[in-house]
This record gives sequence, structure tokens and C-alpha cells, in this order.
Amino acid sequence: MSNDVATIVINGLVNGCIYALIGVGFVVIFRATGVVSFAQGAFMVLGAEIFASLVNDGLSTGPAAILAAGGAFIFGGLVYWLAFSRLTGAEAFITSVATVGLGILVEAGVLLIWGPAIIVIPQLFSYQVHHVVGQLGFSNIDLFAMAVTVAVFAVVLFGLHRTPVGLRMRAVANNPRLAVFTGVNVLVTSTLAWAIAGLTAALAGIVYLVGTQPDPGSIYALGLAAFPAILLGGFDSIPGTLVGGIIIGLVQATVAVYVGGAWQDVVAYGVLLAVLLLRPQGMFGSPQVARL
Amino acid sequence: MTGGGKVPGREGERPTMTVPAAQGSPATENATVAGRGSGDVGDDQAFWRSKTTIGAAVYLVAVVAVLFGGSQFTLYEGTLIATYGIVTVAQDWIFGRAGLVSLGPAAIMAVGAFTTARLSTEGWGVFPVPLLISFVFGGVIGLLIGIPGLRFRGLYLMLTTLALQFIISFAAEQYQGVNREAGFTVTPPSWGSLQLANPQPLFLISVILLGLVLLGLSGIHGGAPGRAWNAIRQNETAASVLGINLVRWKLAAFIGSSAVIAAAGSVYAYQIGQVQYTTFSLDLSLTLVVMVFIGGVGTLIGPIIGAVGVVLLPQGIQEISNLFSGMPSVSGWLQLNEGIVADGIYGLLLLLLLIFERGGLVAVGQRLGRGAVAAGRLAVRASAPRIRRTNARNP
Repeated sequence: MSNDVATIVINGLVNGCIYALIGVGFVVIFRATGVVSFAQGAFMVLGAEIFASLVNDGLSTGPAAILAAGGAFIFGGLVYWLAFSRLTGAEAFITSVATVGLGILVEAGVLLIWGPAIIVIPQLFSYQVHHVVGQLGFSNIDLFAMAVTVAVFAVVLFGLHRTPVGLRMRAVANNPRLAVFTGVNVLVTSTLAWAIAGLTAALAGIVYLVGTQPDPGSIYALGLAAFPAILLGGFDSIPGTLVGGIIIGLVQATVAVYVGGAWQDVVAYGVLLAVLLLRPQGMFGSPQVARL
Repeated sequence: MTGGGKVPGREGERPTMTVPAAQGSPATENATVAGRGSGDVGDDQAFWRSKTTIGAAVYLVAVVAVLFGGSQFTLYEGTLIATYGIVTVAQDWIFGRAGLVSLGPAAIMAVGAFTTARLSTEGWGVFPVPLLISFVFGGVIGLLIGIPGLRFRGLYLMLTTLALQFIISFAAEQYQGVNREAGFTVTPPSWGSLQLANPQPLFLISVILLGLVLLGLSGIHGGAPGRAWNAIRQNETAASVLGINLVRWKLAAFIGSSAVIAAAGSVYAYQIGQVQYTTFSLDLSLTLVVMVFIGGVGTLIGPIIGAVGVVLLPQGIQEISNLFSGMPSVSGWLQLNEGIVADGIYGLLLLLLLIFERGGLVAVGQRLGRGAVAAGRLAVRASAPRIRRTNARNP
């Protein structure tokens, strides 16, 4: 395998995993409460900053990640409980604008606490590459990103389809009114959905932080950059997000190698426009989403 | 109209039906006001009492005060408020009137700004010409957004306009990268010896443009087009059954608002003097969208209040930090984080308003006004019967 192809596959898979991690929370929120969240980036920044300060205080990677993700879990739940549960029944656009406000608020809070500088953490994983085939090899950082993604998707999919809580969440997603009549506590279920979204977004932020050491602003922007991947997979499909994320990641990596890094964002949004025109429900989404 | 059922959860079946009452009432109120202002001019009393006349008078007084009493800095901020005000009023045309969605006002401003910057250095740079060409280009961009806008609603339209923001921003970056790395310098406009980019003439240009936009829109929203958009916003199917041409009116809203926003971008280019793609970021777009909702969707004054807020809030924080001059740590912290604190306030205010009063600050003001009137009446009533009662008992 040539060097270029190897670069494309590695970068595509790793970036695709991050998109998928951002997207899974987005889809969980959208299914449970119908809210199109522009605030995923804010949860990512929050998780990354908590993780960085814990690691810098000497905590090891595992516990720090668990604590940071746990913090974002509680915060996500609180956000729904206190604010977004009161916006139930509002137009989709109103709730989306509210998530923009939430994003601005959380971002401002994070910047006031931790400052706008680049988030510095000690190197947690080695850059040493384990070769698989020819030039294709993954460093420990890449493997960490993919392992977290696989674990999150496995847990979320298992939880949704094989546990009573997941059954309730799917019931709410399918028909909230009917779910109430069968005795499901919609408020608790929706709060849980937002908490899960906070947790997965925080993990996405941590994975991104470990790989690149970015500043808070660029993590926040990444939350919006995941929209093409989410739409390609289908707005209400969790496995679709993984597939869409990896496809967008690979497309962007290909463009970065053969055309130039500056074209990455615009190509992703070009794909988004093409999907909107040709197949608005995405690859795995249900057709009725297209009627929104 | 109830916003939704008691069931928390998705209300996705009929998104167009759920027009919150708080959002609807200022719109209709404003429409009648505009109708009164333009329709009953013959009646002297109605003319002098109409909100349009009062609004115009207040606007003129404010403009004259800033023009003659304001420092250079005040004039600069006044110009900025007027420019952003044009954009927010045009954004409200999309959200609050036609019930459509657009997340890329900064991108459309960029179209006007780059057009102006480029033309100002060429032979076409005589003052109103770049502004008018920007206006036309903005309309063309509006048509381009409008065509997918005919197919999509809500979420999908939102993503289309988000994509547009990224694509225009990228195109501007490429254009700037190929031609000039540091951005385009705008040649200051002049009429003979009169330098139009000086603070006072530029302020006049911006407030005249805003005045024209406000006057034009209050007429349009109060007339047949306003009723057509109102019907489309509340129920598209019903509107089309009533014989409203959806294609025509939706395209008209996109084209009109984009043209106006691009014209504002042109004025903005003259003001900042150096046009760079980084200025017209997604952040600016989202701020301009948020401002409309904070001020009050579906009104003309609401978006203006939003524009005033976006310009003056950082300055207000500066003033507050001066109050804490006794405590250097507090004032220093406030000054250092002025922009971030302002952002936090916008975010919090937007969330609170969307939860408790979807009509924005305008509706809060109206509510406070009504509350004050009611409290006044209550006080009068509470004092009056007591006197009568004592009289009745002790004849």
C-alpha cells in the first residue's frame, strides 16, 4: 500500500471516528427530543477541559476520562432538565436557536474558567506505529480513538436494543404521546438521552484533544463540522452516523492529500448539499425525517 | 394557540402548526400599526398617534443627537448599530415574517463587502454604484439560497444555509488568497471634496439606508405581501389553498432580505476599510441570528434592539468594570474578559427568553408596560372604593 493511501486510510478512519462520536449524541438527542443540537461542540470543549485539568493534576488517563465524561453526563442531563424540557413543543428551529445560545453560554463559561489558550496535556500515548499492511499502520493515539468509538457504539447500541431503558428510549423516540400512555416517564428518558449525548460528546472532545492539542475554539467549531457526516448517515440512525462519519473522514483525507488541506471543510459541505438534493434522509435515516 | 401537548418529547408531526402565541401577537400588532400609519394619514389624530410616526420621530431625534452631539467613537458605534440593524431586520424578514430559516447572514454580508472592496478600486467606485451592485448581487445570492429553500423546510433549510456560509467563506478565502493575502483595501468613497468615509457622512449613509429599509418593510409587512408571508408561516398548505403562490413569496423573501443584507455588507466594508474573509465568520452569522431572537422576532423594533445590544453590551461591561475601580482584581478581570462575558450574557439571555418569553425583549417590555398600567389602575381602584365604603358605613 502506497504512502498516500495509507495516510488517507489512517486520517480518514481517525477523523471519521471523531465525527461518529460527535454524531451519536446528536442522533440520541434528536430521536428522543426532536432537538437539532448545535451545542455538541460545547459539550466537547467542556469534556476536554475537565480531562486536561485532571490529567495535568496527575490523574491517569482512564480515571480522568471517566470523571470528565461523567461530568459532561450530569451537565447534559441538567441542561435538559432545567432548560430544554421547557421548550417541548416549540418549533424545531426555535429549539435549534436555543442550542446555539446554550453553546455560546457554555463556551463562554469554559473560556472564563480555563482561558482561551491551547489546551496542553502531557503525551499520553506513544506515536510509535504498529504496521498492519505495508505502509498502513496505526499509532497508539489512533488506536485509542478507534477503541473509544467502537466501545461507545457497542454500549449505546446494546443499551438501546437490549435493555429496558433502551426500550423506553426507543418508545419515546417513536411516539412520545403513546409512550406516556404506556407508563414511560418521558422527562426522565429524555433527560437520560441528553446526558448520554453530553457523555459521548465529551469523549469525542477527549479523543480529539489527545490526538491534536487544539484550542477550545477549534474544538467548538468541530461540533458544527460534524453535520455533513450526521446527515450522510441519516439524522435518526446511530449506525448510520458511524458509516457517514467514516465516509466523510475518508473523503476529506483524500481531498487533503490530492487537492489541499484548505478544501476539507468545503468538500464536506459539498457532500452535505449533494445528500440534501439527492437523498435527504441520508443512507440509513427513516424517510419521514425528510418531511421536517 | 397552544404550543404543543402536555407530553414532553418530539412534536414533529406538524411543525408549521405550532406558532407560539407570543410570537404571533407582536407580528399582527405591528401589521395593524403599519396599516394605520400608511392608511389613515388623512386623519390628523391617527397620524400623530400612530406608532410609525412616533418611531420615525424618535429615530430622527436619535440620529440628529448622535450626528451633532456624538464623538467620533459614538458616530462609529452608531454606524455599526445601523449596519447590523439592517442585517437583523432583514433576518427577521426571513424568520419572523416568512417563517423560513437562514443561518448565513455574515456570508451574504461578505458578498456585499467583497463586491464593494473590489469595485471601489476599479472605475465603478463612484459612491452609490458599489452599494447598488452589492444590492443586486445579494439578490442573486438570495435566489440561489431560495431555490433549495423551495424544496426544504426547517432543519434541512437550516443545513443548506449553513453549507452556504461555509462555501461562501471558502470562496472568499480562495479569492482573497489568490489576489491579496492581507485582504482588500477599500478605497474611501468621495464626492468631489466630500470624503464620504469620514464618520459623519458614513453615519448618515447608514442611518438613511436603515431608515429606508424600515420604512419599506413596515409598508410591505403591513400590506398584501406581509399577509401572504404571515399565512405561509402559519400554515403552508392552507396558504397555498387560499391561492398564495408559495414559490413567488418564498423566493421574494429570500431575494429581498439577501439584497438588503448585502447592501449592509457594502456599508460595513466602507466602515472597516479592509475586507477580510475572517471577519464574516460563522460566529458573526450566529450572533446576528441570536440578536433577532433576543430583541423580538416578528417586530421591526426587536431586531434593532438586538443590534444595539450586540454593539453596546461590551461597552456596558467596560463601564461596569470602571465602577469596580476600587477592586482592581474584579475590574481587571472584567476588562480582560469583556468579549467572553458579553457572549455569556447573550447566551444566557437567549435561553431565558426562549423559555419564558418567546417574543424577546420587546414582549418583555410590553408585558412590563401592561403590568405597570394594571398596577396603576389597581392602586386607583384600591383607594377609591375604600373611601366610598367608609362613607356608606358612616352616613
